[in-house]
Amino acid sequence: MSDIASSRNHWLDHLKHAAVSWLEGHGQDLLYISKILLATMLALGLSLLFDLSKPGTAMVTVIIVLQPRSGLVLAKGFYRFIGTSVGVIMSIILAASFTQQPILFLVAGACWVALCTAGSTIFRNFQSYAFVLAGYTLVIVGLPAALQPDQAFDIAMTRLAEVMLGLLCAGVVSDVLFPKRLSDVLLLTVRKRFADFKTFIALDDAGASSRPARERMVLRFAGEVIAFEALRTSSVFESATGHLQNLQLRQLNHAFMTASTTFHSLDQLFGRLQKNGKQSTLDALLMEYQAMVRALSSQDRTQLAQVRSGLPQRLAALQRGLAASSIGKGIDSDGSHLLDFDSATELLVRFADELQIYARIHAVVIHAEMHMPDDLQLPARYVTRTDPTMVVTSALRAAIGFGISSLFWIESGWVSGTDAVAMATVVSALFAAAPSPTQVVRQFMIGAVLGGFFGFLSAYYLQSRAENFTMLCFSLIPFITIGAWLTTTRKYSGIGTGVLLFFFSYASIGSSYEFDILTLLNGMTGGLLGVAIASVMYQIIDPSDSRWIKRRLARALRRQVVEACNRPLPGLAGRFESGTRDLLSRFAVTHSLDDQDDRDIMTWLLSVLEIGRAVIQLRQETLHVTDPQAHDKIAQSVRSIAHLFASPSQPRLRAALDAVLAAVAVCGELHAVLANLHLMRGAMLERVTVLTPAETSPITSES
Amino acid sequence: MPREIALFDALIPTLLLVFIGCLFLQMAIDWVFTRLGLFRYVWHPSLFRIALFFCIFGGAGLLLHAV
Repeated sequence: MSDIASSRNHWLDHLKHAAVSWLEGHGQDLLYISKILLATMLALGLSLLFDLSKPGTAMVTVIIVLQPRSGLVLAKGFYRFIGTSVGVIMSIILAASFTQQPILFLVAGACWVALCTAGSTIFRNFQSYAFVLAGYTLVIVGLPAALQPDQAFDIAMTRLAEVMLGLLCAGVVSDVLFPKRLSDVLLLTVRKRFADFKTFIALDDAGASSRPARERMVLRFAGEVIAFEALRTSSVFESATGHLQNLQLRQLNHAFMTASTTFHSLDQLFGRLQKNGKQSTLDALLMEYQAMVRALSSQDRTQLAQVRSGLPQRLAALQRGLAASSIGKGIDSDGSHLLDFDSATELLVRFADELQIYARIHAVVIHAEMHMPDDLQLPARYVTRTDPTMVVTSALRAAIGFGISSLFWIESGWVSGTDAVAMATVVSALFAAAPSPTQVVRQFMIGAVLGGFFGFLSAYYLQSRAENFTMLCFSLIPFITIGAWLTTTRKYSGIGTGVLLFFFSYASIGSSYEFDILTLLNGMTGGLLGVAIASVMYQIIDPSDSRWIKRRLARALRRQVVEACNRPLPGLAGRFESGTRDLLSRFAVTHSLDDQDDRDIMTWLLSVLEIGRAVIQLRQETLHVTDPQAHDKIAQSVRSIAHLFASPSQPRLRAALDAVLAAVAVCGELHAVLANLHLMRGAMLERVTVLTPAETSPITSES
Repeated sequence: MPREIALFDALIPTLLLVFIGCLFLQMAIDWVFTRLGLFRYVWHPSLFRIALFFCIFGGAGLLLHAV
C-alpha cells in the first residue's frame, strides 16, 4: 500500500514541478491574455450601456493599446488620443469643405494621408503612432461623414467617444491589475547593462579570433542605447516621479553611449598594436587597463577615482620605461611606438573619466537619489536621423494606396469600396515604420482571412443564441483568446493582429443582433482587397530592404563624419553619436552580419564612429592650440578628411593621410592633439577597404 | 445645472466637462502626494489613484445632479 502511496506522491510532485515551470514560462502571457479579455469585455459592456453604435471600435482600441507593460499603455493611449482628435478635426474640416466634390475630397485626403505617413516615419515610437492615427482616422471618420454630411458630426463624436472608452478601459485594467512598472523594467535594464558592459570590457577572451563577436557586441550596445531611449520616453507617463528619474536616465544613457564608443576605439587600438607586433607597448597598456576595469567591478565606489587620479603619473613612468627600452634595443627609429603609446594613453585617460561619470550616474539612478552632483550635468541631447528618401517613399506609398483603392471604389460604385479604402490606408500607414513591413503585411493578410472567418462563426452560430450580455461575452471570448495568444508568440504576432482587427470589424457586435451574410461577405471582400492593395504597394515600394537603400545608408553615415568636420562645436559630440546610432536603429533590428552588404554597413558604422569621434576631439583640443602653423595644419587635415568622406577614393585617402602626417610633424609637443591625429591615421589605415571603393562592393562605392 | 452645455453650438454633456475638471484635480492631488512621498504608505498606488478618482468624480457628479 505504502508503495502505491509514495509512487502517487512522486507523481504529484512531478506534476507540481511541471505546473510551476510552465507558469514561470507562460505566466506573463496568461496574465496578458486575461487582461485583454477583461478589458475588451469591459469596453463592450460600457459601449452597450452607453448605446454607442460600434462597440467593435472600442474593443479594437483596447487590443491595439494594451501591451504587456503598463507604462506603455498609458503612453500609447495618450498619443492615440491626440492622433484621433487631430484626425477627427481634419475629417470634419475636409468633409465640410468638399462634400460636393468627391474627387477633390479624395485628392485632399491623399495629401493628408501622405503627410501623416511621412510624419510617422520621421518621428519615433509613439509619436510616430499618433501620426499614423491622425492619417487613417480620416478614412474611418471622414469617408462616412462625407457620404452622409448631415450626420458627419455624430459620426465623428461617436468615433471619438469609442476610442476614449477603449483607452480608459485598457488604461484602468492594465494599471490596476498586477501592474508591471516600466520604471522597474528600466532599472532592471540599467543594472543588466552595467553588468554586461563590465564583463564585456574585462576583455577576458581577448584576441583576434573573437573580433567579429566583439563587433557584434558593439552593434548590440548601439541597439540597446536606442531601445533604452524609447523605453525612457514612455516612462514619463507613469507617475510624477517619472519626470525626476527621466533626466537622470537620459544622462545615464548618454554617458553609456560615450563610454562604449571610447571603449571601441581603445579596443581597435589594442588590436592594431597586437597586429603590428608591438607586444611590449600593448602589455604596458593592458596592465593599466586591467587595473581600471577591476576598480570598476569592485564594491568600493571610490576605488575607480583613486585609479584615475594616479593614472597620469603611472602612465608617464611607463612611457619613460618604454622609451628607454626601445632606444636600448635600437628598434623603432621613427618613434611610432611612443606615438602609439601616447594616443593610447590619451584614450585610456578619457575612458577612465567616462567610466567614472557612467558609474556615478549609475549609482545615483540605482539608489534613487533625488539630486545629481553638479559636476555630472551633461548636455545630453538625443537627435534622431531618418533618411529623407525613406520618408518620401513611404508617404508616396500611402498616397498611391489610398488613390488606387478610392479610384477602384469610385469606378466600381461598390458599396463596400469604402472598406477597401479604409483597410488599404490603415495597413499602409500602420506598418510603414516597421522594420520589415513586407513580411508583417503578409502575416496580417493571413490573419485577416482567419479573423473574418472567426467573425462569421461567432456572428452566425454563437451570437444568434446569445440572450444576455454574459452569453454575448461567451460567444466572443474563444476567438479573442486565439487572437491574443497569437500576438504573444513572437513568430505569429502579425497574424494575431490581423485576426483581432478583422474579427472585431466584421463580427457585427452590437446592442441588437443583426446578421446579414451579404453585408459580411461584401465587407470582408472589400477589406481583404484593401489589404491586398496595401501589400502589393509594400512589395513594389519597399524602402527598407533594397540594395539602393543600403547605399543611401552608407552615404548618410559618411555624411555624419562630414558634419563632424564642419558643424559648430557646441553639442556636436552628442549630436554625432546619437545621430549615427539612430541611423542604424532600423537596420540593426532586422539584419545580422551574415550578408556581405550588411557587413559593409557595419564596417562603415565602426569606422565612422571611430574617426568622427577623433575629429570632434581633435577640434576641441585645437581650441587651446596657439601655434598658428599647427593650427593651419590641423585645419587642413580636418578639411581633407571631410573631403575624403564626402566621396571616398584612393587619391583622397592618400591626401588625407598625408595631411594628417603633416599635422603630426608640426605638433610635436601637443600630446593630446597628437594622440587624436594618430588615432585617425590608424583608423584610416585599418579601414582602407571601405575607404577606397572597389568594384566588388556596390554598397561602398559611389555610383 | 443643465444636462448639456452649448460649446460653439455643439451640445456637450456637463458631466464630460466635470470629468475633465476632475482629471485635472486628480493630477494636482497626485503631484502633491508624490512630492510628499505619501504613496509609500499605500499598498497599491494605482488602485488608490483610481479609487480616489472615483470618489472625486462620483462626488462632483452627485453634487450636480443629485436631485
